[in-house]
Amino acid sequence: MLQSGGLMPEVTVRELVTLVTGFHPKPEPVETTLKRAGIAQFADQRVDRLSGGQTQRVRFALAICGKSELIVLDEPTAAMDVETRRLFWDSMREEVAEGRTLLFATHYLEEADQAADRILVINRGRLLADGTPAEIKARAGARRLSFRLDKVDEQFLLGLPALVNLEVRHDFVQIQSSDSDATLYAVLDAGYRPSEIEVTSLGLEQAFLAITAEDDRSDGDTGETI
Amino acid sequence: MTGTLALTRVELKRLERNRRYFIFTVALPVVFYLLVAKQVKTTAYGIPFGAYYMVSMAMFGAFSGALNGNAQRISQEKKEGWIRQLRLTTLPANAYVISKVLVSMATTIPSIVIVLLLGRFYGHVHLPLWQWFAIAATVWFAATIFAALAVAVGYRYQPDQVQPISLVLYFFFAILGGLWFPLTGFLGKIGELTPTYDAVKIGSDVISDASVPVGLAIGLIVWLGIFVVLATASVRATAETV
Repeated sequence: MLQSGGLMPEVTVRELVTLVTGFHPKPEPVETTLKRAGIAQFADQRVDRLSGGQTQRVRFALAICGKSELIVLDEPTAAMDVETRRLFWDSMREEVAEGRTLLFATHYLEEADQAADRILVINRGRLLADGTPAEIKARAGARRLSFRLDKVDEQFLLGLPALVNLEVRHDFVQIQSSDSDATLYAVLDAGYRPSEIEVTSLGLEQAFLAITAEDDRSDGDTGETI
Repeated sequence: MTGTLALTRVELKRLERNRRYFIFTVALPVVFYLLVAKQVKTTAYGIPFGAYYMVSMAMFGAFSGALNGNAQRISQEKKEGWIRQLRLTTLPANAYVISKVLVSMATTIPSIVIVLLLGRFYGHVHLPLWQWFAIAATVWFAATIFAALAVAVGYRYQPDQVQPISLVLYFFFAILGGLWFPLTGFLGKIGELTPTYDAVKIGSDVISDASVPVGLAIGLIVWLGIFVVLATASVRATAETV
């Protein structure tokens, strides 16, 4: 399934799905496809009179109209509205439940977090991380610890256990940590009494940013080119 | 092949819904024939004007349908990504082009038949049965040549460029081919090189001599070769962007 891409105009949705289904060596029944893609209610409308979200559902229908073992989707939800997107992932889960493999590229990391079993992070053509969403988040430093501290000793903070990244602005300290408990205890054990302590878990999006930023930085240091 | 034929069937269905296509291929030559055929009392290419004009109008409708309709559509569908979408299916790569040519061959038939019937019953052209078939087959074949030209233009150029390009080609082959009126003198000499002229001349020679001129038939085949080479080059040149 393509992110964008024209469909044959002047035919109805049903005609188009029937046509493409016919090309498939192991076709699904057309009615099943129409229902799964959520396009049954406008199956008799002409393809060139659909909205963007409806068109994307038709493209999706063309991707699932055969019993493929592997479904490849390029930014499948880019043009979808909220409801369509939910419907789309529901039907994708059905596909996966039947034993099919789903490979998709996306910029919506929340989606990847919810839908994917395995995530590959690619930055400028290079593979940076490969794992389950939980592993990716752990790798980036799964939690962010922040607090205020009157007299900041940066050397001490950099030596904290499980620290992945440190940011200090005046008295405000932000730490990305792979084990926030250990990091926090080390601060307290050293006799510091920080205020406004906050521990938040990183979303996949922040994990992604952390991993790619790290990569961009190391590129800058070594002058490596890709 | 079944996939290609399925695509062709759906393409035909689309064309049925597109009335504009039939204005070019059927209505225009019919109206021209009704207006002009009986006004001119002379002969052309050695046969009565009504007979010549029947052959030339059949050619006119068929070639303009094959050229104008297809070039624009192919270019549009390429731009919008339908061709790319088709490439994701199990269809062979050439299925799209083959189906376009097949559709073109199917849709020129009614236009040819209608103009010939008009010639017979309105223009009072009386011919033996084999001559009717020879004329229809020649015009049909010549129109198919232009389906190849449409592929060459449609694949290579953007839709907004295709419009003027196919218009120029349309006037070039219609006028120089002597479809609207027989050309004489220098322009006539140049016009004799065109496939539209070849086809009309074969038709009129069939009527006047009751024989098929081999030289002109070879001319048509050479033109087919040229347009197929151009079409292949266009498809190949844009293959990476598909």
